[in-house]
Amino acid sequence: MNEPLNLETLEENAYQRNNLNDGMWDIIIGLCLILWSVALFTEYGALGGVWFACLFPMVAPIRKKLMRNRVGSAVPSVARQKKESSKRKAMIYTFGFTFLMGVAALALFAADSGTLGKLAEAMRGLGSSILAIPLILIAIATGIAYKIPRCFGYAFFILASFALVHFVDLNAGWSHTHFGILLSGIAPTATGFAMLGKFLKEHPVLDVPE
Amino acid sequence: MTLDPLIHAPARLAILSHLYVVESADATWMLAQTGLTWGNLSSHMSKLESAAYIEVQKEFVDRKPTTILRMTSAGRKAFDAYRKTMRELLDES
Repeated sequence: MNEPLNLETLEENAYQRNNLNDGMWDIIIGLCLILWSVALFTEYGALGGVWFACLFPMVAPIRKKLMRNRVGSAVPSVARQKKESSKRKAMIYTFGFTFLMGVAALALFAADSGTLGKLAEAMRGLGSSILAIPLILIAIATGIAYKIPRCFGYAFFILASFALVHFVDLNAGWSHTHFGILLSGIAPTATGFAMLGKFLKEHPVLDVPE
Repeated sequence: MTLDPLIHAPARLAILSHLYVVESADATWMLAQTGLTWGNLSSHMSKLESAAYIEVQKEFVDRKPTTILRMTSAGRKAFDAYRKTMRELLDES
């Protein structure tokens, strides 16, 4: 009963506790990145997307099984439902924008003369590090939309991971992209497991004689 | 200006504040949010239900009996009035 009595804060805290503070999404996204890097390593890079498609739908049933008798469930207010719907739209736009950026980058890579040619040359020099840009954009957009400060930390970690791979020269162009992605996946996975452990400790199973 | 004594009790104020910001919630959610014990929650729920501030329904969710709590429109009105009175009282002092 020590929750703030500002109803907006109370609602935000309740929503965050039930949906974002258990580390489940961090684990799943981190694992997807790690598995994507393994797929790239084994030269089945296209399979990377399969992990996202397979693991993302697992979050809701796992959470239901693990959390329902610990934190219960609530039907959010109409205002919250509208807010969540606009957040989802914002995330879809971010994904769309990064996808278009990727297509533009691919088109740019083909340029070999003029200003575009110089830009393409500079981009080629960055090698796989260029993949960090969409990942950082998505992490920052998620952090802003869902008010999750740790996402900014992940964005920084992604930047640091790709910079490390780029400057230490672990990779030779696109063939070793997996190192950057692998390192980027470690932070959310480790943070997620730490958060999940803490969450389960702080929220024991509640005995409700219904 | 008088405060509604039914809402003013800390535990009931916590229950109503939480129910005010959602459409409905199960009893486990309420226990986790307020930190009350089941016995305590149950007794306050009865008082609020008698005043028609909340509705308590037993439903089967995934074949498990679940207690669902929902704030009524009378409850919302009473809670809004309580907040208004409280604000006025604090502004006066």
